[in-house]
Amino acid sequence: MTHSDVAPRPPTGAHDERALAAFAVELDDIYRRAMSEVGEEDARYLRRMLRLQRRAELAGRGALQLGIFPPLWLAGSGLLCLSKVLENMEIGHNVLHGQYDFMGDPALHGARYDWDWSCPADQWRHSHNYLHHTFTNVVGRDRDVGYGLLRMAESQAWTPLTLLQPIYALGLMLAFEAGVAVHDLELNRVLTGRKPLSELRELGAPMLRKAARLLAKDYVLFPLLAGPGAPLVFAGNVTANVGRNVWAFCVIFCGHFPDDVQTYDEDALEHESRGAWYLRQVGGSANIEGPRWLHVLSGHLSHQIEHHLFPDLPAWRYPRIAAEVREVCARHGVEYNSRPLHRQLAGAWRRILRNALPGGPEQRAAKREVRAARAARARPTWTSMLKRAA
Amino acid sequence: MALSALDAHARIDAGVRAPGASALRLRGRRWGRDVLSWLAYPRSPDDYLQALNANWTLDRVVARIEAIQHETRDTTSLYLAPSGNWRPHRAGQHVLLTATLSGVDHTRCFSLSVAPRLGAPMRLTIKAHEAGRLSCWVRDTARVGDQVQLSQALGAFVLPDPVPERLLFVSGGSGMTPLLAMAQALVDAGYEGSLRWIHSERTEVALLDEMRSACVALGVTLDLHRTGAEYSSVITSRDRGHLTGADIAALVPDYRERHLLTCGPRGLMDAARALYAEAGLAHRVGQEDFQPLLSRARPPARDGLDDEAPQLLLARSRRAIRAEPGVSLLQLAEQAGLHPPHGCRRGICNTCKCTKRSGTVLNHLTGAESDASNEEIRLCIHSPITDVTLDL
Repeated sequence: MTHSDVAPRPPTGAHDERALAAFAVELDDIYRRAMSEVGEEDARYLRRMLRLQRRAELAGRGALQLGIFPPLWLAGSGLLCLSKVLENMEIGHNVLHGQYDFMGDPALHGARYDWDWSCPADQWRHSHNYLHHTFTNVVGRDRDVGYGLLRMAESQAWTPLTLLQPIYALGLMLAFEAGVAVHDLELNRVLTGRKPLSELRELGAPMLRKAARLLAKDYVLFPLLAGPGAPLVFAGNVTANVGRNVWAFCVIFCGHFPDDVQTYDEDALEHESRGAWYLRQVGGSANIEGPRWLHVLSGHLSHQIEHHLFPDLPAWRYPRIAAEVREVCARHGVEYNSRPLHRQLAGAWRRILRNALPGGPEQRAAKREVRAARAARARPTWTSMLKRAA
Repeated sequence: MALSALDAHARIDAGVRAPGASALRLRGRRWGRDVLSWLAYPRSPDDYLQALNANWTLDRVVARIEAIQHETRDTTSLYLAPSGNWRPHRAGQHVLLTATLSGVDHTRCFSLSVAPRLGAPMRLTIKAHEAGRLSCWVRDTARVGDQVQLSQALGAFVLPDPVPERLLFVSGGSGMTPLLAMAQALVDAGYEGSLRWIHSERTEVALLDEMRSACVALGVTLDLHRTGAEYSSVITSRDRGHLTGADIAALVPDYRERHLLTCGPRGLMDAARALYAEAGLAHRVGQEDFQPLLSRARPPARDGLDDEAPQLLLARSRRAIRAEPGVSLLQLAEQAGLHPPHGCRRGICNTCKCTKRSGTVLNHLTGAESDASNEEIRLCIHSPITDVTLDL
């Protein structure tokens, strides 16, 4: 179990460049084969999910209106929470990646879809689809490494306030919807003076408008509909939202923060070949093992590795290709991080706690290694568009 | 051009208005709709209704195929029963029909081939094209009971109001569809003016009986012209290429007193339009264009540019593809492997609107060129003149 999270660069040399290229070819082949099968089956799956999610929401909200009866309140909160989880994860996140663009339905197109929580879809498309998936786990470029709130990599700065980060993490877990909503606003940079307040307006205004409508819906309109049952509807909606927040936090934190998951520094991006990009996606991600319901409820982010390799492949196909991806990684000596939920979650929390304390000798050793590797580097170019686009 | 003055929602003609609709009820309905929208946000109420039952909708119009009639070898009539929120159309208008084929939605424009009559089913008469996925589906695979989606009736190709005393219909091929609807509307309204109808057809004429009976009911003449086929039961026949303006003038000497309504192959419509334009009567022309807009278009030759075709660059997807003459930006993006949102594919519905970051494009509806940067354009009706970068 390693604690060092600044990944040493893969060794140079034509042999390793060839190995990386071969790695890329095999993964590209899996992708092409999987994409060629995408069609009616995927459309039917999504429609089934949509029907399930919407019926669950109607049933849940309906039951909460009659929440004076405890079993109905419990069932209502549970069903509403399930519908929110499905909407955000299996439907929303995947549709926003453009996985279902092929269906030709403008309501399900990644560029148009808006999902049912406070984060505006435009901002998510920018911070997640673009920034996170391009600069995955690169400290200083991927804001998902800590979200500007937590120190998740030893190379990130430590201040005395960082000692309290387990509390921040708990707060983020309970209010994850709000955390995601303000993610693209880069509030931490505003607070430290690196970004002017005036720039907040452009993104902040649509976010607040959307959040206001959703808050009104859950905490004003639906309670009002129930008349005297308003407090119970309110409580039920709070429960459903917090439940969704906790679950989403756990799944997402298990994606890039368990034990042995690598973070990278900016030099990793320089002249990164396609094979090296694939390598960073695998090394920076972790899978969760579990039953089928866990995969569906996680939006198949339980297969974070496959998702990062092929973000536009319909997510429900990830379990089908996982065995093959795992086998390719094994043959190329690439670690494939996959453990049950409780172990990945424990690893993520260990990382939060460990990094609450200032960095230790491993950090210094790792930095020395990185500096040495940087000095000896010369890479073939895959594309410099990462730099250009940044 | 016919599509420049769009009236996106059909006016409800007197006589087919739902009885009992009062202003108060409409306002109450609108208020109720607003509340539902707030409760469903960010989805629409229809998203939830459809999850319960595919036939329940508020805004979307869904329709069940009630009957399928194969009129000729390649023309099929679909009789549709739309959901209750379908507003009656005006004769000559069209709809966007969306059908799901193997999980993928395909949307195309088709004219309604019947006049709006209370209680009568709506009908689309569709000619199958070689490469037309939806038209071939209609001919080969569609079954009674299948569900499709419709837009509300669209289009400004309708009988002028008030209806002129003297009319001239010039149609070719499947262009007779909206004109048949108009002829039936004239019959229903007891039109007593003078109508001449010139129809040219290469193969079998679909709905010929209905065209004839409408003409007989109006006491007017249907001129049928064959271009390249042999048939016996025609009023007059002439075996040559498409009719020219001179032919029309010869057939209808008093064309200057008639209002022209034309729909059909581009060459035929251009001939009819030119005839009227020469006589200074361009304002008395209504037309509807259903062929792919770009089939004739070639980017104009420019000095200083080399002969190499321009490139289309897709900024977000990081792809590039060479343009071909007559191919729209939408088609190029699809050739590059993308699936941009689109609807009618002919400049009406705005679904394919996308930001052009830079480059000069040709608008095939208006013929205008535009080199503005960061401009929103409809991909289906523009093609590149210079290298174009799209925000796709």
